[in-house]
Amino acid sequence: MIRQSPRLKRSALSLLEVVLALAILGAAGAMLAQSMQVATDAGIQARDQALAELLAESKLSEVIAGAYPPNQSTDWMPIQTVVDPGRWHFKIIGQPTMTDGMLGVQVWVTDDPQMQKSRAIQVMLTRWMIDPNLGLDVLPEETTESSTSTSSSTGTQQ
Amino acid sequence: MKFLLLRRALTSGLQAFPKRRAYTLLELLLALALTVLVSGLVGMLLQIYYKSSELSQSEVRQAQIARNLLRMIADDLRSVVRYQEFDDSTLSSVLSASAGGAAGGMSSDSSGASSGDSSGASSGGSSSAGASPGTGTSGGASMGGGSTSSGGSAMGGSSSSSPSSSGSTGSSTTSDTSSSSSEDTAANTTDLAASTTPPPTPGLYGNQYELMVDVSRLPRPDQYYSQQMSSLSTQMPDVPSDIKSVLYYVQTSGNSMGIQDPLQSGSLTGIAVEPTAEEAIKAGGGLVRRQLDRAVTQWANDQGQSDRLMRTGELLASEVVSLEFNYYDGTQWLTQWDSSQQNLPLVVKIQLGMQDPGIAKTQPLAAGTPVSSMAADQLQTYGVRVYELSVAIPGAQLMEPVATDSGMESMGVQQ
Repeated sequence: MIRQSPRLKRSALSLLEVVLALAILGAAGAMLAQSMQVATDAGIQARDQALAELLAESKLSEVIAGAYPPNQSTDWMPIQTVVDPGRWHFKIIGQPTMTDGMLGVQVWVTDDPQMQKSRAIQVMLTRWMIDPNLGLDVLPEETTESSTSTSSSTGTQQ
Repeated sequence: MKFLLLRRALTSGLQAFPKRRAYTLLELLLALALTVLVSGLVGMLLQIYYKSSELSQSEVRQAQIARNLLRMIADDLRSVVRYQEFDDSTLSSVLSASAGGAAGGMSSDSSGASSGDSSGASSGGSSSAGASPGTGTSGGASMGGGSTSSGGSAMGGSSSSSPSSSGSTGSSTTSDTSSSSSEDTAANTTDLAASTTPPPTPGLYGNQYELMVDVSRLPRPDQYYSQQMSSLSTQMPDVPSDIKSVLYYVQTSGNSMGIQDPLQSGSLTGIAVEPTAEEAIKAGGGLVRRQLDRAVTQWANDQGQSDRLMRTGELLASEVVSLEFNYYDGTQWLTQWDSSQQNLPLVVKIQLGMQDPGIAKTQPLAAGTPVSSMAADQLQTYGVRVYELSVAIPGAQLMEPVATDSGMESMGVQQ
């Protein structure tokens, strides 16, 4: 009190000032909220990225096991998932490599095949596999040999 | 004293500034209202921040849990025991060849007779047929060899008896003997299936919701030291071994006989945790992994100690609502697999169902609910997420073909 005594004209905050301060606070809060939103989006995107990676890995192992031919057309095809059945798409690109008998396989998974979203998720996995057309990954000689020989034997029998 | 001093100071102050005006009621109210407004705004913002940060955290955490669980199951699947029956065809061929040589090797008739005798015991018939010079050209011998390597020893033996006899006798009686031998084969397989229970071979056994896989891993050094297991323990004692049966399933909620969460029940810390409303509905449900020695598992099954088996294992993740498997055999996806009949699947698809962490707080879904049979709108309301991973089992396509199939095939060729 005594210290303030030299100030003769002590002015209060005017309404305009308070409103201005509030507006600034609101703007700052909104900006912070925006950044939090970005963080949330990043979290969701990380989850979706993990999901896409799992899907791509699944597709790749299905290609290796022969559930899909590696020379699939390069169009996006929907993945049949339990939740959001039409959301994810994949394509498989198989190309011969410089090594004979080896096939380079690329599996792409995306949630945006039309490339419209600004932040689309796209995962690509590549690996080499033995060309399934060579028939190296099935049991060789014995079965084929026996089948041909039995057919010949049945031919002689009849 | 102090009060007096203060009062004097106040009065002197007031006297010094007689014209200083106080706050009016209006100003005070306005200031209060503004304070409330500002603090409300700040509180709201804080809440939004908290919620969104928790949301993003829980999203990432859930994805992490799902990924790690899927990796764990995939690792177990990839290290499945690739069991191949001991192929004694070469050994028995050597033995029977030496036996045939000892018998004489005089004429083709005698060799045919000896092969007929030996065919009942083992699959030596094909080799003796190959040893006899006349039958070397007939493809029947090689067919017998193929079926022995793929099928069981008894069946291979019976089928291999036909080419040797066909070689020794004329081609006119071949059809008769081969048809009779195929009948023998059928009788053998039906007997095998009906009378004696086939020995459970190590491998992969599972249906849509459960999966048991025999894995081969050396124990860690610390696992050789026997653990202190009290005789009153409710769990099955495990022994160090390199073949473990690993079982995955989702324990249904409210299962008091099953595996208890050690943290929840307080068996680990001594302090039981009071369950929240969400946990009360989940009530001990979740993904369970049981790893036990294969022999111990079989012994427990033989002894009928299924309740003790059900209490053995670890509750890995109470977040998991459902777990489903699909098996790819090279042509189609199946919902169950039996390694004693089908060897190994090429691909196993694992589907892990979890709930949206936000929705799980208000509308928890009981564990053990099959997600694939839920309707789309139900999936929506419960916020179900499904994480899936297909695992290719390396080398599964190189496993020998199935015994029953090859038997059928050979029968089909012969008829």
